[in-house]
Amino acid sequence: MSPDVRRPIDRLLLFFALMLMVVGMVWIYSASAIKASQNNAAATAFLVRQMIGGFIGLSLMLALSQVDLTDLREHPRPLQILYCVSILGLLAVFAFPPVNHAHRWVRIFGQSIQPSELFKPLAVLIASWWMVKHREAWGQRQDAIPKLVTLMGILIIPLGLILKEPDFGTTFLIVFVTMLVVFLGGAPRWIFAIAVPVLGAVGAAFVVTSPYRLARVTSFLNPEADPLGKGHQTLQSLVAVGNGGLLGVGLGAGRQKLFFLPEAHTDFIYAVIGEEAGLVGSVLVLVLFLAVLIRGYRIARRVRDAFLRLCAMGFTLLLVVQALMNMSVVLSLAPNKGIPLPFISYGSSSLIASLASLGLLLSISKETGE
Amino acid sequence: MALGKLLSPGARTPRRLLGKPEAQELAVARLPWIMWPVFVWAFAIVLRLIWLQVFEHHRYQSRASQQHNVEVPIPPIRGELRDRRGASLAISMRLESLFCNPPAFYPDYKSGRGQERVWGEPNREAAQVVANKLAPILEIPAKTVLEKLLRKKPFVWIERHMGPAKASTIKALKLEGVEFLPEFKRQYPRGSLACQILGFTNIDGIGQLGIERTFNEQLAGKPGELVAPRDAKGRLLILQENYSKIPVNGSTLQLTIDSTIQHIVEEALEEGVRLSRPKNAYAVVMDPNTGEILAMAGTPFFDPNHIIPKKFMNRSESEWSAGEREEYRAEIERGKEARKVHPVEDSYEPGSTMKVFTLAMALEERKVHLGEKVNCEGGRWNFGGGLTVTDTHGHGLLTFEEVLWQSSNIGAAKIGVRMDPATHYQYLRKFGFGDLTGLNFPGETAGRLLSPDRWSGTTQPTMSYGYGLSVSPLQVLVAGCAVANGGKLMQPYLVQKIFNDQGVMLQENRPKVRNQVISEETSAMMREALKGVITNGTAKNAKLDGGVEAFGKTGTAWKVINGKYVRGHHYASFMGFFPADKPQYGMLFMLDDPAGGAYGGTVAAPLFKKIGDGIMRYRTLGSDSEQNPDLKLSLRDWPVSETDEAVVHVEVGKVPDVRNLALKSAIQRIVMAGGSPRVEGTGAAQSRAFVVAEQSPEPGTALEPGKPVRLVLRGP
Repeated sequence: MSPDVRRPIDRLLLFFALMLMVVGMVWIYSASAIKASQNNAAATAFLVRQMIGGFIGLSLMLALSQVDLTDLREHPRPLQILYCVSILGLLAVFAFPPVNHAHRWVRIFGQSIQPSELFKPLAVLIASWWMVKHREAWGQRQDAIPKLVTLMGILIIPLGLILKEPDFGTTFLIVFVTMLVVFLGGAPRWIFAIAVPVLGAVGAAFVVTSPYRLARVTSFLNPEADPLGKGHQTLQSLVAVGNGGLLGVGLGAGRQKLFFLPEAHTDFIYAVIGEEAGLVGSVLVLVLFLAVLIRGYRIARRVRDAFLRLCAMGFTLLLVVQALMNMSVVLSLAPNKGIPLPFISYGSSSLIASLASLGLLLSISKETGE
Repeated sequence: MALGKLLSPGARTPRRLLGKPEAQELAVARLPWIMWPVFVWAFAIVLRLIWLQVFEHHRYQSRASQQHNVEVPIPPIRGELRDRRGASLAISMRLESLFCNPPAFYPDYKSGRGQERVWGEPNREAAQVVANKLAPILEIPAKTVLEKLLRKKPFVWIERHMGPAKASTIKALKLEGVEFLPEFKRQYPRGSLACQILGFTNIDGIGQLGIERTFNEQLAGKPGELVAPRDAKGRLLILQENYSKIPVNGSTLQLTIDSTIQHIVEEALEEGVRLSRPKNAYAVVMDPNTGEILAMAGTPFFDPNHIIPKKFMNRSESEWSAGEREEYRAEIERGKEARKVHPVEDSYEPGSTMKVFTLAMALEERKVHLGEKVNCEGGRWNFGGGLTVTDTHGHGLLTFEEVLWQSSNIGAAKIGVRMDPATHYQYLRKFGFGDLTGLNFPGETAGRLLSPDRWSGTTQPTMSYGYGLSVSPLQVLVAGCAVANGGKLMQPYLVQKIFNDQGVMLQENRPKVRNQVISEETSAMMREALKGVITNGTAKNAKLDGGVEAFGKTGTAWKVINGKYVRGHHYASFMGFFPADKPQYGMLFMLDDPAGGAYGGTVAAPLFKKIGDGIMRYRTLGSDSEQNPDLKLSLRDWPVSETDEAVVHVEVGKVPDVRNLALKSAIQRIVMAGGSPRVEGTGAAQSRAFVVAEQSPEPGTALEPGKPVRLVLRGP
């Protein structure tokens, strides 16, 4: 075992993440300026709000990058407190009027906060902590099942609330990333052999029982069938990306954002990038996320502590898997789930949550293994 | 390879480095299980991007441009109509038409074709705000505006043909969902002057009658098309002038009409109607040497500025109900009937006028000579075959000339039958009877002339004095001009020159001789003989002032009513030419069924004199018609811009001060204020005058609807 020496933070990781944030700022302005003007607001209205979110997020990131997560292992009190606060937050959303038929926001001090976004990194922390705390249990079948069921029990309350909002995309993402953490944390493989089909069946049943979700899935399979109804968003997204071509139509010159493409500055911002920056720009954004993945992977591999390793991998996957899911939706490789592109999509809660995850990842990057 | 090394640490390097196989080791061992699928996933995304952006790019690009761009038609400016000296008879003014784009008020609107459109629930509050702001300016109830704003159509007219002042007030409000399109309104500055010749256009600017219809294609120009980007709600975002088709403005026509002569003729017609109350009265003035029509008019007059009923004004034809469409068509049809151009559309039996041609042919064929005496049988001559020819006044022996002067039917018939029927027919054809004159005017009639093999025994004598064939007044005048001008049958025409919108002459119509009908000598003899009609004969009332010699022939033709000649109902006409030695004006004046069965010599001849005197006075006082002023045409000198300050400051509903303004600007301002201008012609003085000298009512007084603002012009 090598001596515990603190390194500087992973500057490359920080650079890639900040690059993504800059890309986000540029395209939020591009995609939202006209929408903002149409709403009789300044063209920069959305950009300014995102910048405020970015400022808060960066401050939080810097603070969290100084935190030593190893303490959590022995003293999980902060986790318990945050968990309770999350539940309260997730309950509080139902007290506010719905926006677009969904209860996702809590308004405090004039700022809209999305508790489900903030719960994402917390879910990773909880799962990692649980997996490391009970690592002896994973060897025996009779111990493993109760422990995993308990973890499920802990997570099912907030997840149920998120699902109730409704926000199927975030629920799905958290379940997916948590499962990856559980897998990395050493859970026996046979559990996945059972859990994956079971969850798949539950998910399918969930989709089929709701016409709204079913429509989303079927429209993804054939967007041309109903170009103005359910398939509208998917099709318009493909038109945007396809119209971009190799080099794009030029920054700001995209036309799909002129209300052809719904949610142009939030969930479908990648389509706007695809239209304006073309194949080159879209691949560059993807490469930036892969660079984040590789830096995160390096940090995880290098760190000695099992809890930190799981956390590092969890945060990395949280960011990258979310990005890939969002891109898959935009490119119609997956049904529309309504999840934002981390660092890039408009939404201060999402940006703050992403930057918080990054901050914790950076704090882990200071730990050394070898 | 590097990636492979990076991703398989659990397999090789780390085990050796960490040296401690423990539970946490498991995480590292399981990492590739996650990393690889993630990279495969990312790779799939890259492949998908390449597929969409490289292979399917063109498909999506065309789909995108289809939904992003809209082709905006850019209307061309309709060409002007000018008289032979360049005075404007019809001009097009750029006005603004307000329309709304209802999808802007439907937040969930999705575009598509026809039934594919999805409308969703309207944003009533937003539309109400717009309606409340528009209503006071448009002076219509907010409810009506709101109904238009929310109508489930992609395009709805709100108010068409709005002046720039009103339009700029609305533009300044920067309202959502309403936009302007430039449209052109046809304005006839001289009001009813030459109305039948000019015709008029419908609200969409398509010529409906007269020159406007005949030359619609040249006048209309070609619409251009602007490719404009639009957003999903159909709002236009015109960023640059990206023409996919450049509009070509209409050509300007310079007519052969002389508006002063036209005015003189129309006044005479009005007087004729007042004095003898005919069903209709009409007159044509032609230059016998060229065939140019200098004036052509008929009663009743109408004002082409006020053709379309108000209720049809603010909507396009496509939004009318079937009933309204029917009503509009009926209205137009009724209008067309009332606006018939009688000189070219009517056909009638020419009666006495025909004797001129019969005698000219016989003279040309040497079947008769000047001074030859013909026995007129005391006014009653039994021709045989059941035909008895009678004269109004019985005569014994009459010379050739006297047959014309006294208009003897018997004399004409006797001379006519000396000719071989085939020759007679050939001459009639050469004079242009039974054929279109070539004027190319809508509704022109060719008349009816039977070929000799279908003639009965009595056809030739009756035809000799003008029955048994039907002709149009214009045919008669054109034939008369041939007798007067040395025997050449000219093709009549109304359009002298055609200019494009840059003032470049595209086409010039030159006089065209259709036939040499009779010889110079015969023509000279006929001129001489016909002088006596005025000095000694039936048309003493036609003698012109100032010793100007003229010649001509009266015509009194029985009207056929329900297939029978009815006593007491005729066409009374006079065809005359002056100055006699080298005729420059040929005129036919007709009264259809004058009161009391008056004859041509009593009712038509005095009006010929009135017109002839007027023209000769105009000729000596005003410009000679040889003068061809600089007609550099330019539609650009027309104040069309809404930023034109003077125009913007015109107060709606008040008579603007237009004194000392150029005619065009004056007309523009009066129209902006909501009035209708009327230029008063004052004989010769008007010809060169282009600046407003006087106006009535006075500036600043309230405009009375339906009452024109009269302008008197003076020289610059």
